[in-house]
Amino acid sequence: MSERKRTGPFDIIATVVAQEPAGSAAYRLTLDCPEIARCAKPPQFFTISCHALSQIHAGADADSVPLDPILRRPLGFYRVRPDKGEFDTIYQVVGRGTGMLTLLKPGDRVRVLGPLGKNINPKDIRSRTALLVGGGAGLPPLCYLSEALQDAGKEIIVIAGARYRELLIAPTVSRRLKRPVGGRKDVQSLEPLAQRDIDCAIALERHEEGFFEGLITAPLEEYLELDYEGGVEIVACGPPPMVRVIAKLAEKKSVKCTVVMESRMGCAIGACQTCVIKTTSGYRRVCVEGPVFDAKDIVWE
Amino acid sequence: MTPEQNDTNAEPSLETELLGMKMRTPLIMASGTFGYAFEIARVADLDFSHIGAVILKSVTLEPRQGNPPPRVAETPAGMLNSVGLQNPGVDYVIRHYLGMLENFDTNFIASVAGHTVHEYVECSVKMASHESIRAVELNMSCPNVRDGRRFASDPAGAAALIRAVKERCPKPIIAKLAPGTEDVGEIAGACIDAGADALSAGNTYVGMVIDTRRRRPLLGGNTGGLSGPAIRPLAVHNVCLVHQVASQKNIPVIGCGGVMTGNDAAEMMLAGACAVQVGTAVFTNVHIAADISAGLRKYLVAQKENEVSAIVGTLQQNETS
Repeated sequence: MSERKRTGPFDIIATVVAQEPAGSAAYRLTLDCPEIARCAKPPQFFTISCHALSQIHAGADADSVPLDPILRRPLGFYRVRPDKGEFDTIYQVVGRGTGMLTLLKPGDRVRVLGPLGKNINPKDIRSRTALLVGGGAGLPPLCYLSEALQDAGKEIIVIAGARYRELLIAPTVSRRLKRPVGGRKDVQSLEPLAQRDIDCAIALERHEEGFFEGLITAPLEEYLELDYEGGVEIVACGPPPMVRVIAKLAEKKSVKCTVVMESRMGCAIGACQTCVIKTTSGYRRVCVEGPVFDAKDIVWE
Repeated sequence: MTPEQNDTNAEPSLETELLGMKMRTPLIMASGTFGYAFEIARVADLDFSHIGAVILKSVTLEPRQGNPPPRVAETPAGMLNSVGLQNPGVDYVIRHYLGMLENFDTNFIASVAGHTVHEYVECSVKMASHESIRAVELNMSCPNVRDGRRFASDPAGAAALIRAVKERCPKPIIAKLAPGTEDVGEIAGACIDAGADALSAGNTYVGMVIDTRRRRPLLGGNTGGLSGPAIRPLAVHNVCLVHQVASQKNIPVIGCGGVMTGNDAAEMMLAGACAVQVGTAVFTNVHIAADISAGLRKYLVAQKENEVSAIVGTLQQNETS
């Protein structure tokens, strides 16, 4: 019983600490929720109601239940501070529900469920070097994962993709790469990663100084040309079409690839069978059998 | 202080009895939204004391892989699902899941589906033979599989199914009727005459969401079952229609559709439901049965009722010309 209480998942009320824009289409939301902050591991996720609880929450009053939209949104963790009992998420505004999330303000109380899904242990990554590749809502969980893997002594390289610069979740800074790639020594890197001395290459759709041009596979192909003593493997997280091209490239180059999948969800704890994706062993639930999968087990549609 | 005032100070009782099951509340977790209970029970501090019973996810004789994703689409104040009865088959469920039920302090009801009468019968007998199962709900109204609603749209077919299951099944059976059919009263009557011990009214409503950019249905299975508060007025009316028939034969009705709060549960019970299913609401809060129970108690206090069973079917229809 005490074991279960320690690891969750918890269906619980969190308090909003802060919310601010993260790039032009995303927000960074900080929640106070010690139960979840204490046991979250990358790249697990949580779900959040789009509605703040009314300030006079009194059991089952009609105004205290969410009616529309009714489902909670699955979001990834960006930073977790177990000592402070807080965590950050960065989410993109993609519809009415995430639009409503932008209205949350400090002091609001909101129902959350988490941490959910399987995590990646540093020992699951057998290679000495991990390429963390992704974009969109997949980038924040990869940043979270990069810290855990770096602390475990892995060499981490983050490869990010975005349509244009303003969509990136954090400012960029010029950085001299520890491992030059594609004839480049200096590139624009995400500031939070540079602060942790993690190499980061960014691909944008249009040409910009210091960035790679084209799909995320452009810098990834360059990185796969390098030699890695102790081996290299990929962890991919992002919009399904992006994850798919990453997985296909990994397969072509015979590099191990772990994918972190996203899906529309109902319950998010394994009961409703709605968030399934097709795998070589049938439909599997992203919420409990995932979100972490071996890319070679996914049947790409 | 008058005796009447004295009564209202006592905590009203939510205890009720259904098909021989003692239930601490009239709230029943609806099939398909609570899995096989152990999945939801992983959530820390889940308290079964507010849950009168759980209806397990529907099982079929053979494993079913279900419909292609996407399987869920959000709609105004509700959602469509198109799971398509994915389940590992009755034998697997009995061997691997039912043993865990004794850890959870509530009543369990099986839900059974099938393509043929034979499948329903075999599956019902297997599930009902397990000691943890108190009753069997026949899912005659799944909108997401071919033939899913066949038995609930034809009185003779429904009666034949119930008679066949009743003959072999050692536990009480509940017929889960399709909602939104003109002749739901006729079907309900046929089920009762064939031996159904209780009726669940009803199930999700068939709907579709279209992805306008791709000009295709959003759901992999094209159509899905609509649930959530969006359907509640339809469901309450459906309960009224079924209750009109069932009350004449003293058969209990279980209300189902869009219940989120204690007041919603009260609506269902006034319309004639002696127990109320809670489904989609669980997705908003795993602990929601506790909140609904609290709300229902508050309602009973305000109405000066001591027992929840006292309000069942007490709806007074308005006079119309």
